Amino acid sequence: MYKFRLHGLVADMWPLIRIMQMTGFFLLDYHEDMSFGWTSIRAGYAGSISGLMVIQFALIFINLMKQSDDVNDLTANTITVLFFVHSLVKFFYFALRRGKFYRTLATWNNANSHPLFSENHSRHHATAVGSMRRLVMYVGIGIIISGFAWTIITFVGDSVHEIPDPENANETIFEEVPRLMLRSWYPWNALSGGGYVVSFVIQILWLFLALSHAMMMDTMFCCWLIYTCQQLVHLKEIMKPLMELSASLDTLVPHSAELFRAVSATTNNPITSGDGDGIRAIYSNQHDFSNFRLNTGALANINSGSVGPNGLTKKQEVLVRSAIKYWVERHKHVVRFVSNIGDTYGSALLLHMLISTVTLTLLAYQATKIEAANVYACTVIGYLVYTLAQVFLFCFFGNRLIEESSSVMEAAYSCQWYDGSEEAKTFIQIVCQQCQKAMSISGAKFFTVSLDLFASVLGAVVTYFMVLVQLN
Amino acid sequence: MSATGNRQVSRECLDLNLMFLKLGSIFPLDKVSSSTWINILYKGYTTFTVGLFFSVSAAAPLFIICADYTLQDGIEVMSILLTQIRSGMKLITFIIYKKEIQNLILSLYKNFFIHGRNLSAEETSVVRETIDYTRKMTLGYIILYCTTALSMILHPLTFTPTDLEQESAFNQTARPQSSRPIPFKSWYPNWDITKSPQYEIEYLAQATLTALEAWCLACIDTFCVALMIYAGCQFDLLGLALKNMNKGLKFDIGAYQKRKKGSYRIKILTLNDNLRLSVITENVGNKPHTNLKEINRWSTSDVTVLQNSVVQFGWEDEDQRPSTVKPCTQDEIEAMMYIKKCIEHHHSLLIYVADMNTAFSTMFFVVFLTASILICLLGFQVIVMPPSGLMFIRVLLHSLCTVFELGFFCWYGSEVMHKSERVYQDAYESEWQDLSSGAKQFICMIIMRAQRPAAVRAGLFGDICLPTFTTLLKNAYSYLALLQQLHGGGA
Repeated sequence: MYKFRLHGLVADMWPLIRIMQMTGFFLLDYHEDMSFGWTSIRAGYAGSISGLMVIQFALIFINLMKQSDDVNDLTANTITVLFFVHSLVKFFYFALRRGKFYRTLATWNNANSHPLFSENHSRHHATAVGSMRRLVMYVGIGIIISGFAWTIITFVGDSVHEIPDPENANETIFEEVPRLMLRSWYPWNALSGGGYVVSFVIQILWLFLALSHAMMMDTMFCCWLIYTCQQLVHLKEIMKPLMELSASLDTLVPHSAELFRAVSATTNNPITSGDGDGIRAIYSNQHDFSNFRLNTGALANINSGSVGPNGLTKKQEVLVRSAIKYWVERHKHVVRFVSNIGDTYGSALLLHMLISTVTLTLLAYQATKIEAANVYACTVIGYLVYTLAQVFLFCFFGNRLIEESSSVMEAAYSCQWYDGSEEAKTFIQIVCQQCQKAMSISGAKFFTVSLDLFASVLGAVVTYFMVLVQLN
Repeated sequence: MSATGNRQVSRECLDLNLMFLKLGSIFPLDKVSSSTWINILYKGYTTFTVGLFFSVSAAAPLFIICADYTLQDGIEVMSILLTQIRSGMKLITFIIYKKEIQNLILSLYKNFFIHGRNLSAEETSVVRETIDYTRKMTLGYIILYCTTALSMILHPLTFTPTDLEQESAFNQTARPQSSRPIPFKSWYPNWDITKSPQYEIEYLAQATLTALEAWCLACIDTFCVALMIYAGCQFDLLGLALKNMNKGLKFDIGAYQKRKKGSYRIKILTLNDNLRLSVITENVGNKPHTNLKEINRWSTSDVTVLQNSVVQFGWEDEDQRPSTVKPCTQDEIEAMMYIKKCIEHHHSLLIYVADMNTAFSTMFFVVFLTASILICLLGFQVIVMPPSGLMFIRVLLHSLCTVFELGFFCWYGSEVMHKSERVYQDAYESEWQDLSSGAKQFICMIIMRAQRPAAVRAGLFGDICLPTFTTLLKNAYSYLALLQQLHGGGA
């Protein structure tokens, strides 16, 4: 029996998941009542929303084909079509790859824990959840503002477009088009009356749904990255207490400073002597020497007795070893999570970048035709800013992941590893080696998601714009 | 029974590719079959192929140098010339680097087995899956190339008479049998293509070469890619072996039981003449090892602490082993042997990729060098030509093949890089925290080496991977836009 329990990553991302369910994604899991009736109702809801999205998109596309004679109209309509292709692509990408999304969301269902570090962990966990919810809120506000701005700008200026005059082929006249947000073809007369109201309602619904479809999935991806980064910060912070704990485990060099002092105290003896009285010469301190317990049989009790060489009980030794194990297992968990994320979302990023490249090229071309600060300029700049912001969102978080994961090595080096036990030192060694290569998300291996990618996209747009301005 | 079955798995991996290569007269291994006169005949076959290739391909540069032609014809012949240069490079590579390719094949067969033992069930299923995938990919690629070759051979037969009349009006040669087209425009001294036997001979020669060349190219490409895919598969096997170290150890415990004797080492610590202690290093917490000479036992950290300090004592080793391993319990010895085998396997895989680079690097360099320009020229032809008739389909298929071939290499080269990098993640995912510190050092070294991916290189172009593909396509598009500007501006 499926017992619904809100735990792990799903619980942390609950508002986002609810929003996604409400906007019609095929996210049919994570409900209390998973009976067949309710599931089919939800599936029907998602299906009808997908139908609405596809049909309206097809109508916009039909309008594009009909108005393909005029270059300006064609470019403008192509940009609109490409802009909303993102929404469709992301929607159906999610529907087709649901399994992988569920698997990624379930990654943190069985996280390990350790009494020594649970406070630190819960603190960082709370920070992560706070950041995720804040991000969802900002993105939601952004979507609402964009939607309203789009609607408001529809009512500014004349809602007309140029077509060649039917009587005089050399001149153009202005023909009225419906005052709607999107240029779309409707089988009914959308210019006035009931048809207009119906079209307007459909379009406003569609606009908000499309904007949220495109952004919600990127937001989910960014939330995953926020969570990962916080886990890495947690791991970095517990490195130092871990080292200090293990330093008290079983090193028989009492203190690094004393060791070095002892060596320099033997002035004339050749240090690398094999003549046998080395140990007494170096360790003149009786306290040091007694730690070796040469003369007693107390060593025989190491494994069986309750007191180890430095006064740590067996339980404490086990605790330290388990702390190291916790760190390693947690880090492996994070690495697995990142590879799940890359697996799930990499292709979607690739498709996004392909579509965005074409969109931005066309937008650069449109931007060269701006003459004054009119409605046209506002719409072009709005499109540009929105597209670039979409790319910036995931590039920013991808870059943060790269930086956090490569700083683990620095944290490992900066804690006092030289005081730690042998086991701790080899652990630090392997961790440093592993973390030299930063974890990154790649767009289906074609490119790495980082701020470099955003810089190259921005540079390309500026270059096209400059070239096209020159050609004009 | 299972031993031979497992060995057979490795032999099976290249059988389809080698069979196709045999048909195409470029079989890399020495003995084609057991009888000597078939081998001699085969050598003759190879010589015939090479001779035909050079004689027919010479037509293209001669055409460019000696004949008159329009821009469009010139571009067409340039693209054919570039294709021939690439194909020639590939054929020559297979003939010149025969020894290296033979070594590659033999080491590929060997590299499937990590510990000198047979593959486990999981590994066998991975290998089988890869073999099936490679076979499907080989067949698909060959079909694509054969279709292209067919369109090239057949397109003159669909040449419509209306175009012919226009051409004859231009040429002012009002012959009833006007110049019939052949697949590729050519020019030879003293060779009139319009006369009857010469036309048939040339047509036949070009058709044979096209068929042979398409077959050979497809086989060569799929062979190289199969080598890459299997290299990736072997990196996967290594990763599996590292990840499943605990399971793998239990599997090997039988093999290592025999080596129990004489594998314990005892260090003797001489403090002074009177006090000699034999030190058995062991992990605190493990079951104690009972082979002792003296009663006094020191724990691991005592010994290593003393070693880490500046003083050196008189160490005597009981048996003079050159290795610096300090084994303690049998489990730890076995773990270290296991990891050593993994490291050896990793090393042989890296050598394999380096050998592949020696053999194929020049070939890839030429292919990648001409790729952008070729795609640009073919793309231009596609744009300029009216979309009707078999000629258009031929040019379209040709350009598709070129782009696809490039993407093919780059995709699987990228796979090899990623799979060789995955080894370090698999090493990290193994249960290394339970191993002895010596074994941990081994794991650390594996991680360090594996972080540098083993990549197939294309000469000066860098690694063969998907970003390279993107760059080449972007360059091709820039050249295409430039060419279109020139053509549009000029005409």
